[in-house]
Amino acid sequence: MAKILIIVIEDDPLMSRMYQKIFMFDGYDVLLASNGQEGLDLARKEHPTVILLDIMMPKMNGFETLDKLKADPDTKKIPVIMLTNLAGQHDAEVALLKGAVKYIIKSEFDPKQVADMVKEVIAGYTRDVLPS
Amino acid sequence: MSIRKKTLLIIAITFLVITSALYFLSSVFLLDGFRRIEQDLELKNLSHLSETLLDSLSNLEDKSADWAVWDDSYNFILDGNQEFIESNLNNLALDLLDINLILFIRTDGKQVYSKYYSLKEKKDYKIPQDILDHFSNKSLLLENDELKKGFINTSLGPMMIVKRSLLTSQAEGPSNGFLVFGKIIDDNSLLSYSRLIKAPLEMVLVSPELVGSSTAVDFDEAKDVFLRNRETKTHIKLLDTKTIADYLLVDDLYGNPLVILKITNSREIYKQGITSIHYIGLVMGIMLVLGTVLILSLLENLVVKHVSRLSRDITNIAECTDDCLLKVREKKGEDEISKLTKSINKMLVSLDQSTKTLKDEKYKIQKYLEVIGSSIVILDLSGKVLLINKAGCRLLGYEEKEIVGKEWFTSFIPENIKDNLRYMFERISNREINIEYFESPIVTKDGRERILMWHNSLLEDSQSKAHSIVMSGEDITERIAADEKIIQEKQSVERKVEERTKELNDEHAKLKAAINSTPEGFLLLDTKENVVITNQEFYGIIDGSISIQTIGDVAKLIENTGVDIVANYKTCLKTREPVEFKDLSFGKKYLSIFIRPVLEDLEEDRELIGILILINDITEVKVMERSRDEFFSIASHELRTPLTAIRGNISLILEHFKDLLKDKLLKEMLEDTYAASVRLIGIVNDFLTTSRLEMGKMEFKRERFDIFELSTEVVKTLSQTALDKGIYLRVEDTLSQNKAPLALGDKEKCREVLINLIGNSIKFTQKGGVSIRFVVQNELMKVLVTDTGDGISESSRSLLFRKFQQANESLYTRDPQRSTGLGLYITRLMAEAMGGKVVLEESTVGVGSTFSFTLPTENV
Repeated sequence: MAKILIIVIEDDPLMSRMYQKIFMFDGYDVLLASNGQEGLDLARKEHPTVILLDIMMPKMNGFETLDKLKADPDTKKIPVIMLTNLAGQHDAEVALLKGAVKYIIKSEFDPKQVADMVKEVIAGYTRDVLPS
Repeated sequence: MSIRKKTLLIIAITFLVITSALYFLSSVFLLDGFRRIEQDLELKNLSHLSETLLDSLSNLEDKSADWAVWDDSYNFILDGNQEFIESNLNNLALDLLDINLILFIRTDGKQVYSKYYSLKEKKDYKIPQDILDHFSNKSLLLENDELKKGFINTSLGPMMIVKRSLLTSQAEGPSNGFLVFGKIIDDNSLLSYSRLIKAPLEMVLVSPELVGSSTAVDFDEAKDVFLRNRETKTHIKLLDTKTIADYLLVDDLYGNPLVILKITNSREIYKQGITSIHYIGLVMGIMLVLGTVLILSLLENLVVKHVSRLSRDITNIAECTDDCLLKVREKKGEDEISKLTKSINKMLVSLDQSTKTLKDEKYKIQKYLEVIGSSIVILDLSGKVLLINKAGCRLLGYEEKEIVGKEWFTSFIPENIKDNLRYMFERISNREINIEYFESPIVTKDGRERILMWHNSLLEDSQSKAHSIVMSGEDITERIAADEKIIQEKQSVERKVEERTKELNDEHAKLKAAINSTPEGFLLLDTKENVVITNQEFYGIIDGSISIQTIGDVAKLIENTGVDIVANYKTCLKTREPVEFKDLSFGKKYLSIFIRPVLEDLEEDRELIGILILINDITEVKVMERSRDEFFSIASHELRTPLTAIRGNISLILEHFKDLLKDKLLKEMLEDTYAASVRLIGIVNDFLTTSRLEMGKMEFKRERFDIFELSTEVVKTLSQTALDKGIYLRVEDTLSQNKAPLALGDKEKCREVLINLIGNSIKFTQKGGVSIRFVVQNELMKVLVTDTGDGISESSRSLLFRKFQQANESLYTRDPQRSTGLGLYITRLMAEAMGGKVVLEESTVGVGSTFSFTLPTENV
């Protein structure tokens, strides 16, 4: 099985480093981007298995980044999981409409639960993308 | 003047004018024609005369031809032989030739022979020098061989001459001289011409100084005409009405005017013209008389006769005084006069009726006056009594005849005021003042004074001229005494009214101050769309400076808000229900508008007296709200992020570095930190949820779902907790799934409500357990959660669903398990937002409690 690469796009280093550890402990490769633009460039370059995307960010917010990811044929097939502390249902719906596959409210889950949810997504996609 | 005379006059004058005009016109045109015929005739006469003169000249020319073309005379001019003279040039020859002058002149100008012979006196004369001058060497007459004929002026009178060249009998030349024949135009000549033209003929010289001659005025005039225009040779002039003169100018051989011939004619044609006009006049006069007579007789029969009869009849009716026949003789037929007579008869009938009605009315009025209680007096303008009714007589104590004709003011008014009253009366009758009623005393026969209230009115004729004044008086002597008392009472009432008015004014001022100082825009309208009261704040809020009169003005000012204020005003008038509009955007401001009916302050049948519109500037509030939203948004992010990091990291440490955590105390401290972070995140989440609910920011879906199934899921989630505590948790299947209607609301929010309620029950239950039941009631679905826990005391129940409250009576006895006391408060708000509710159904301390969660179903 090919090595799984996760890109975490998150401006708060506290959070991004925590997510990095969560996935590191599970044996995944993790790359960090501190804003939308950086994340976009990284995604085009590295073609990750999955992207975790924060909504509230400087420069380019999560929704804009999501739009750009989904508009680029190169990156549009990469599953995107939204990360946020905004608890509004409305935001969740907007994100899903724009093409995100899941929506995680950061404060409501333990790292292990987050890891499980991401794994679920990866499992679903890698079956199609990586048949081995 | 009677119609008959007028008609006669008008017709006569009309005919006279027409006839005169016709006569005048015909005479002008006829006479003009006759004059033109006359003119033509006179011109013919003149041309006849002119021809006659020429004939006579031609005759002389013919005679001279015999002599001039003759060998003997041809020779004679050369040799002048005596023989020729004796045999040919004797007196007899000149008589025969009928000439006065004969000359033989050689071409060199020498006169071979000359003779002047008077035909009247039959003897020779010496030829005057002036005649010979015409034939001198240099004379125009001799300048060439041509034949010359014409007239010349001589001292003997105008003369006709012919000059010819002498030729042989074969008419051959060369000519050695000339032959001249001459004839004086004398009275005999004129006489012969006169005979030829059959009219008297006169002649004058143009230059009379040569010969003494008649100088009639008319000749001078003709001469003037001719000399003024040398082309003119003829002239015609009326000498008088009976004679006309024609003038002919004859020039001499040199082209100079010589003589004027005058023909005098009597004006026969003109006379005939005058006669015929006289005949026409006569005929017209006869026709005038006949026409006048005819039309007059027609008018007389058709109109005048009837009108006169009608006039007589009406005069009779008018002069008739007593009980007469009110009828005119009707004319048969359909013409205007017939209709007139019929109409007059109809009119007379109705006149008769109205007269009778008037008599009746008069009779009634007399009766009214008799029975009426008030005293009625009519005075003329000088103050004399014209009429007084019985009541008046009774009051005064006199007989009617004693009063009528007397001077009112001197006879019946007290001495001290009569002058004032008379003055007032005069001013009223002159219309200087208008007093409809006044109080005044009168003096009765026995000397007592009575006070009367008089009403008065001016009586006017049809030209609005006052001729008398009618007064009606009522005896108020007794009433005045009674009135004194009433006045006192009235004053007291007035005082009260004054006080009350002052109170009302104060109240009004207070209200006004209140309205003006309220921060809301205040607008009171009546029910007819008019604005009654506004305050300054209103103009401030809507930034309007124009004055507002109607609801339409208001609508224009605030139309940007999108609220149809007129329609809402009308709706409110109809339904009497208040309407509120919130968060209206108005330029840069936010407004809220509240429309409510204003009802009378009564218990029953309250009448709608207006509509009140309150406008609030909520811009500040909106700004505050927005900053609060932002605060919560930031707080949610900024508080939860570090907390999540703490919790996540500790969780990771506990999971992945178990092997390193050998120290039991360290592990415990880490676990406590983890628990604290979880609880803190819970508190923050509760705070956020509360504020979102309170602000109405939380979104609720309306979806149909099976509450039974949802409850089962929740129970499954919480079953581990119950199991840990050693209590039961079960769903009692009181509701068949088939029958159960689907609930209506936000499924996830309902899940939270159920978790909260069931979780609470589990938390406060130490033994026994928690059971869940379902009841359908009036289209509502009720979930009952019953526990066998501590129960809630009566005094704590009221605090149960409040913010930050737990069901404990004291702040110091906090339940250590739960921190904020927001759980039930959030539950209640959520349920209410979905159209349901959460209540404590029943509770007994030490036995347990039952909470219920009610939701609408899809059937609602």
